[in-house]
Amino acid sequence: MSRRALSTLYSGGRRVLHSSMSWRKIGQFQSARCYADNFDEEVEELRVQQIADQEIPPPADDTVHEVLNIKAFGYDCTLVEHFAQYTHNLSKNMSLSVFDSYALPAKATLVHAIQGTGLKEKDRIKDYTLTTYQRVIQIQDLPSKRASLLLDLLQLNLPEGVSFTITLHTQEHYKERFIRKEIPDSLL
Amino acid sequence: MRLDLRAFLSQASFFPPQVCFVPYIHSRGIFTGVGGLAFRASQSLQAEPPKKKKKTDPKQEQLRQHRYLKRLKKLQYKMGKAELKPVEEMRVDRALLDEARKRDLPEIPPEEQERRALLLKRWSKFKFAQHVTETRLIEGAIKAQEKALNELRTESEELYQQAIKTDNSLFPLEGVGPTHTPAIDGFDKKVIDGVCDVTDNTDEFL
Repeated sequence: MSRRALSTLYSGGRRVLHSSMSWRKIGQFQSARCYADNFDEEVEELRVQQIADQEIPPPADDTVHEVLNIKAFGYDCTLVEHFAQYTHNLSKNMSLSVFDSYALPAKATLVHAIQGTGLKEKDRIKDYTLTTYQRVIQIQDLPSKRASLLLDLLQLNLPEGVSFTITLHTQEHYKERFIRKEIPDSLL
Repeated sequence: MRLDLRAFLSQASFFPPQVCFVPYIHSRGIFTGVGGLAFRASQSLQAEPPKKKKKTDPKQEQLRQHRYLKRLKKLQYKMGKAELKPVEEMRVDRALLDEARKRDLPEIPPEEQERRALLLKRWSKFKFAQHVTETRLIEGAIKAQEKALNELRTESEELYQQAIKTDNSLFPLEGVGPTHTPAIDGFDKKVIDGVCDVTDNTDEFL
């Protein structure tokens, strides 16, 4: 390395820490100068198990929608499951292509109640957990002509206590389904 | 008292009497010293002085980083394929799969069997009728739509092309089902202190 290059390197005002890092994570590499710009980011990335991107097919042309996620969720598992089956059958009836259909893990919500003052131990309101069950049906290439019909039918046939959301499918949705595994510090 | 101060200070400090520092005493107002001699204490240096930093050769540093990343990538490969999160409701308890739990069902009399068969037929007829009405509804709607679109096409090709295109503002969309006991206004704030997500043992306040 030429002397000029070296001097510019040493005099450049580089930060010791990137804003996204903490002291604990850098470990032995407390170098004041990072010779590879994205070394720290790469290390951060590689600590968690890398999941390969899913191949999401793009829409065939501009008259059809991209891959849509219809997520049915509610507190009652049977109703949610049956509604998911209904949407699957409906889309087959309307000759729409179903890309994939899967279940997402149930969400447990803890509800903490405000305790009144001066209540005995047995009179106190107890906390309770509610589980929300989720099912996803993915529809590929929904023509925009049929979109309003499908949505109307879904809304009309919603059972009691079940809701649905329709979103565009992204890589984040795909990667959320996997367990997040980290490399333990002992192996680093 | 002031005469003893010097002796007292020399006893208290580790310096010999000639070298002790006398504080500025305000009591008599006569001071013949120069400037303000005041007690000062430096910070206690209990740790050893910081070590000298070794100058790391940039190439070596780069090599070290490269090797570290390579090792991480190898570990990644060894971890294998990513696993999907388990869905609790799909899982069957191992205790329930025990062979000893299996039992023989009682014999059903023929009248009961016939009753059940007829009931199943009536149910399937009912569900099929439902399916037919729905299919007819869908076909009717699609037919009407196609007719309207064809009329539009004869009117103007451009408008037809615009009508066919997707509406991007449609999604994300939400639909909520009917409820037997809808939420009471203001009840949540009176009774519920907080709600948090406890899936995977992580507490995130919602």
